Amino acid sequence: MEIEVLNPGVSTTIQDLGRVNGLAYGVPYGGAMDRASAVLGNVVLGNPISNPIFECTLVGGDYLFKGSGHICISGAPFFVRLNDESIPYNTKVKVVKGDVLTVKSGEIGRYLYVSIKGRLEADEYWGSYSTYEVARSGGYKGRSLKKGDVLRVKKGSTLTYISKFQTPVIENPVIRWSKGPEYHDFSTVDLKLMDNRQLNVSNDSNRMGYRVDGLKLKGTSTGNIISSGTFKGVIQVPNSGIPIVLMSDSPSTGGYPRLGVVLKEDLDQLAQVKPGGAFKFQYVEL
Amino acid sequence: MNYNISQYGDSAVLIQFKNEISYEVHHEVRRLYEGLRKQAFKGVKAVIPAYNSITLLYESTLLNLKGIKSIVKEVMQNIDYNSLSSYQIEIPICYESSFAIDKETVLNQTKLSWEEVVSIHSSSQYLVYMLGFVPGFLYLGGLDERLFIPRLDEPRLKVESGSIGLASNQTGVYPMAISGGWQIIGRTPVDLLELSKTVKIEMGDFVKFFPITSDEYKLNKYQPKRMLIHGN
Repeated sequence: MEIEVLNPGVSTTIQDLGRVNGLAYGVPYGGAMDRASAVLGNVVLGNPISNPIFECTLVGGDYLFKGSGHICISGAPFFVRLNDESIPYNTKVKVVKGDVLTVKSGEIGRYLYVSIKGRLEADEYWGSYSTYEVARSGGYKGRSLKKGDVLRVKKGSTLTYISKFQTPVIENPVIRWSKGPEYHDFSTVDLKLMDNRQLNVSNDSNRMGYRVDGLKLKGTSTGNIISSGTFKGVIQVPNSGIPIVLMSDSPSTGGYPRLGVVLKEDLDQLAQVKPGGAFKFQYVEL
Repeated sequence: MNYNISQYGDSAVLIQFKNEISYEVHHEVRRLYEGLRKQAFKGVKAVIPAYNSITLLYESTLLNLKGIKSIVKEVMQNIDYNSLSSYQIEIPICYESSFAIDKETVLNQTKLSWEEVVSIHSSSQYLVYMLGFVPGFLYLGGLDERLFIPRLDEPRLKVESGSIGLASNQTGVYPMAISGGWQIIGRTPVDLLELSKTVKIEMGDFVKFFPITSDEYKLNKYQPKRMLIHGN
């Protein structure tokens, strides 16, 4: 089957579960921002969980199916229509030649996933099919989709069909975090400011990182550190005092003090907070 | 050398050596990095070497802090730095004025002639301390002190891909067009981002730059290779 992009929305890229092999070479982990939802779509369709899928940001766009097959929508609860009719989430949905999928933004959530039964063809980069736009590599031609792009889906291996799941998209999530390497260099005042406070994901946020609005920390007295490893979930505090939570396309190293690390379990919920959307931090001892 | 291992979130640990950038510390990081790569330790997902630390991502269902501590101890006892091989990559640089956009500043601040700047820059052997920032970027050490100059006050919004710059004790090539504040002294015709997909430059490798003319730049017949210079 082929899928033609009639309108790519704000930014739609091909993603999978990311790559670990390149971290020592400056290549980010990459992969779906909300991993649970990405896995869910593939599981529902009986695909291997690491199959490439569409990741639509905020406004998903319009897609024409040029053959028949099955799809699954997961992730952010957006406005989704197949030929003007609503379709259920986390469920296997049949599509036929000529069908058009339309995805528009919703009240909450940020990333919506379209999984396709079989194997979506994509370029490999360091062992993953995730698009990494900075290096113009992976996914579909290393970039977000454009009008007129045609993506091919091949028959893939079949696993078991599972039906109902919960997605990690909720309003005002509480995001738990634990100590980072420079935690003890921050003042107790700064540490107190972090928790139990209404915060927002900044409009200035993307696949590399989410800047946190509503907080201005004093930072450490020691300032920047000797560049050292970073990964998804690390909370960095640059000189501005505004924390940044590193996300899927985070650089593999950085020089800002690392206050904390978001618990792995909570990363999908954080990923799904819209620009301007609210959340709270909560410190936990591991 | 002593090191400290601490929990870094719920699925990583940070192994930190002395808080400095030096060859001595680099040797320790490299011993550990090579040792961790050589053996497939169960539960170790990825290793990120840096100037004076290693970040180790692990599968928390298979491994814990205690297990990692014993792995690190074992590796540090077993890997001898002198047993490790060294490689060198040679990268062509055109230092002509059309590419050396900060030539005037560099001349003023170093009080050297341009011939001297080029000769000093292209005769040193640079150590790849680590890779990071973006794919294809090398953190190099070994810059001659005569070329130490501060970075620009205001970074440029866009530095052309392949530009080579100076910034205090560092020198390096921008593998893609990005914003940056280094003083630009030339450009390589080699696409380092593309190169990084086929030639895996490793931390611990050495880099040498050699001067080329703008005609040679245009022809761009270069395919840098990783050449063994020590060990096997």
